[in-house]
Amino acid sequence: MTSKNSFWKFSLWNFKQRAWSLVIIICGWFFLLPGIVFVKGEHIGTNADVIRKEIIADTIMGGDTNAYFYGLLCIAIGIFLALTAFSYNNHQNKTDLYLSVPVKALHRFLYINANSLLIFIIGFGGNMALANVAAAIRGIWNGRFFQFSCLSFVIYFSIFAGSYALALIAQHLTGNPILGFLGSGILFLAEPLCNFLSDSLMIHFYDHHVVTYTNLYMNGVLSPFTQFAKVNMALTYYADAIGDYYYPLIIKAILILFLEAVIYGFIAYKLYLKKTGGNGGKAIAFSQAKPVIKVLIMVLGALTVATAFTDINGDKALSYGLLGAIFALLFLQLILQLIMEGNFKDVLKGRLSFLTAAILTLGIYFGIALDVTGYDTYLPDIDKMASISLYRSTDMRLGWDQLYPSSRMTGSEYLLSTMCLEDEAAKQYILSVLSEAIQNPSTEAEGGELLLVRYFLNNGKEVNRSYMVDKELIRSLYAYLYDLPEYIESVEMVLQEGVDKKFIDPDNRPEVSYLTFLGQEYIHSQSTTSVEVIQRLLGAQKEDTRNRKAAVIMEEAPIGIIYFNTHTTLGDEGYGHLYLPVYESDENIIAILKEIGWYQETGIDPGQVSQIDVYETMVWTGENAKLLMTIEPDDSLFEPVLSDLFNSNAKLYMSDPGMVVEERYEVEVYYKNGSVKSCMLLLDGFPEELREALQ
Amino acid sequence: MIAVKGITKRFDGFPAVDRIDCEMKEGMVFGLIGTNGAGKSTLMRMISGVIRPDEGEALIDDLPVYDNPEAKKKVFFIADEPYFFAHGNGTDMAEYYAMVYPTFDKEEFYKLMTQFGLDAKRKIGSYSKGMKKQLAIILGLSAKTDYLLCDETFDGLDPVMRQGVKSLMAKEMGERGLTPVIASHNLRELEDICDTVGLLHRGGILFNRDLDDMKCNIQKIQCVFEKDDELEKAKQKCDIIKSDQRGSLHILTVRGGREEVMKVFDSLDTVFCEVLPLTLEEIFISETEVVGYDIKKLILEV
Repeated sequence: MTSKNSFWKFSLWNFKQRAWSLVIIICGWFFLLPGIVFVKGEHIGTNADVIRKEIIADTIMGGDTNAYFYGLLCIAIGIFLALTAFSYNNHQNKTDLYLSVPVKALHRFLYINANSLLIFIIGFGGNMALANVAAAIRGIWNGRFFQFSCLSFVIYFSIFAGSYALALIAQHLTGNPILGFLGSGILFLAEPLCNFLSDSLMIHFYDHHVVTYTNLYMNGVLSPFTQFAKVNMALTYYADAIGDYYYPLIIKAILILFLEAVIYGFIAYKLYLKKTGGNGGKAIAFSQAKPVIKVLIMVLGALTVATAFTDINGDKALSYGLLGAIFALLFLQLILQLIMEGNFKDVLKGRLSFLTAAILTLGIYFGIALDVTGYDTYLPDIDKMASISLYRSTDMRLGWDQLYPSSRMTGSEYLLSTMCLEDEAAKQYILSVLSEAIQNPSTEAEGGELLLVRYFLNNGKEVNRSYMVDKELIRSLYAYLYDLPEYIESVEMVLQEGVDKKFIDPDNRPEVSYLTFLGQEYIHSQSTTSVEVIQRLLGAQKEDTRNRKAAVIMEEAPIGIIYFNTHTTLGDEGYGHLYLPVYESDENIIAILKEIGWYQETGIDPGQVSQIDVYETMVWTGENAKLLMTIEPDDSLFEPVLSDLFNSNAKLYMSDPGMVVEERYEVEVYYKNGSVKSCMLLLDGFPEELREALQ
Repeated sequence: MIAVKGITKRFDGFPAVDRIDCEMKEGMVFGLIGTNGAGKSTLMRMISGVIRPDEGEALIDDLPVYDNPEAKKKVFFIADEPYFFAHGNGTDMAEYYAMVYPTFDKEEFYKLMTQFGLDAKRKIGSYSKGMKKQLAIILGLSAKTDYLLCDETFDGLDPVMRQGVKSLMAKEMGERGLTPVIASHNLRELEDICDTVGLLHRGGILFNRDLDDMKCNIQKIQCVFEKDDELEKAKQKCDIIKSDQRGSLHILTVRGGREEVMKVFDSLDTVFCEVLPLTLEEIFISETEVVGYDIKKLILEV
């Protein structure tokens, strides 16, 4: 048995042998950490926000542009140390030296790996400590700096540890450093590549697949590269000084990385023990692993080429994809046999693994292309669905980003994750609409609209799909939803959590004003900072929003906007703004507006109008609007058109302008006093006589 | 004693060593002979614990050797192409071995280095092939292990150096009971040092015999018979391995002790009969031709 004393002697001796790698790592991190802190610290001053971003976020945490670089560097160091730690395996005569001496295999494994970790800890951790010293010298050190330098150390050490352990598996599977490096690359990128390939194929072949950044780069737990991508995103956001929200994401990624380090380290140990000492210099250390590795590489490579070829010709996608797959399979068979066997004469060997790879590749490719799993036509059983969320682009109304963390997620992601409609009748109805959309898909050219849907299943799973829904179907769906209280509660800005806190809290110095859409011009009311008035108006707006019928939302134009804002910045989110439409039928708020003298009558006085010009908007062609007809006061169309007009600025504040406004036409109203006002026409009251006259 | 029991090792399905049983007794020099690819190095590596056998086991003083530091402390392996630390010198190698072998004698190391005319501070990268071999032998002898495995170690040494090493080994054997195991494809190299010889062929051991025993039990007889049928009588009375005839002169290789064989030939009608000395090559040729193996491939001119 190797004695404890001997174990430490071997450890120290091995560490000295690897001192050269420690020197390289120290030098690299020295410039990136204490070096940059010292240089930046000279001119940064004492502004806490600047220090937080420039020094802590960018330099210490590696955020912003540095995030991917630090993480990739840690991955590279992990691979480098793993491949050099056991490099004696690559040469038989080195193996003879190391394995013939009286040292226990476990002890050798432990001290070599312990030294690898120590090299990183000294190289990175030591320089992080020096960065604190550099900050102190520049007078910018504080407790926060120390706290985040510790967090940064844990983050990057975990990325290193996970990467090192996975690369160690590649090292023990192969017998030379080049193949060890290539093997590491395959192990790291297999999972993200699988995500990317399945996403790419689904985008091409499916109508209802939803693409997200998360799917592409951050779905999975097997690869340290995936965890790095998650941490990278969190650190990048942190650099924009949006802090605490990302800590759970960072902590989760760190835990997964450490778990990977333990599991992969254990697998590497088993491979290390299984290596019997006679594999020095062989391409693949275990002959049983050869076909498995070969099939994995061939399937991934062939699917990648097939995916690329699929995009060449839309009509013949399958044929081109098949061609690409066959080409790649043959090419990889040649290359891999050469690498593994080292003999050109052996390129025709390994036919069974070639056949296996071909069957798997074509099975996966055509399985996706022909949708054998029914992915694209998926609709959950209502019994298995807990809730459903929907998103349309019109859901993101002006100012919506004031009410959700826009720096952390998109508006669509926020609504999809929070809406969660549970009403059984609503779910049933929505599913029937989506079923119709699957059977009779629409297109954008036909006026269809994209609807994103997230199904929340009873088993906890979330399923995302997108549908191009026919315009009439969308109209009937939203006519239903706008009368559904659960939907209104989830999608209307004024009903969201946090509104009261922002716009009533006196510490935020809130203010409210009202803007009327008059026929000729805007009228701004007086503003007030009275918290009592603000509270009353906000409460009334909430009640009116809940009571508002679908017919109002889909047929009427607002008569004004009520505008809440703050005069104090709300931490990282800046100032608060909330624009809310007011309709003629909003009894509660109009009563208060009348009470405080802010209410104005709207509408256009026909007696003041000299002429109406109707234009075709030409917005889709980019040309100037085309005059279609001029309507004089004595024309029979004059009054019907005038009564359907609304101030075009009101469109910005409508809940669903696409349902309300006839967007093909715009109208110029000429007043007798010489002024001109732009207006638009409502769909609901659009005069048929005008439509006939315009055709 | 080194005991190898049913040891087998396959590489990509091909048996490099196939169910070998043999014993290497302490205090004796064991020679392992075989052509390239016979399995000598693989067997040596399994005995030294570098390679794990697929079947069977190698034991050193009844201790299984693979991943067993207690057994490995007793054996030092000198590979056919020994590896030295890049940019290292003799002292660095001595430090390393001193760390792993508790019996390593640094004084002995430096003494032998001087004796062989090697500079311990000089970079090993600047050594010639022969000097590297010498260094490997010096390190092996300085480790003071019970067993010293030498894989084609004498190749690359000049005759003077070879003799010097043999003398050292003999001295170590006498003083502390060192047991060398020497693998080679050169039969003549082993003749004057080995006590026991094992012949490896295609992963299997053809025979494993005491050298003196072999020499005593084969005789070369040169004779002329009075009658033609006397040869048949001789064949019936003793074990004639090989028979050559030049005119009336018969040269016979006979298995058996000298007295026993002479007694047989004295009983036959011979014009004359004498015993000729046998070289190790002739003994091997005789023994191996019986099993259909052409030993001549192993005979190299020095």
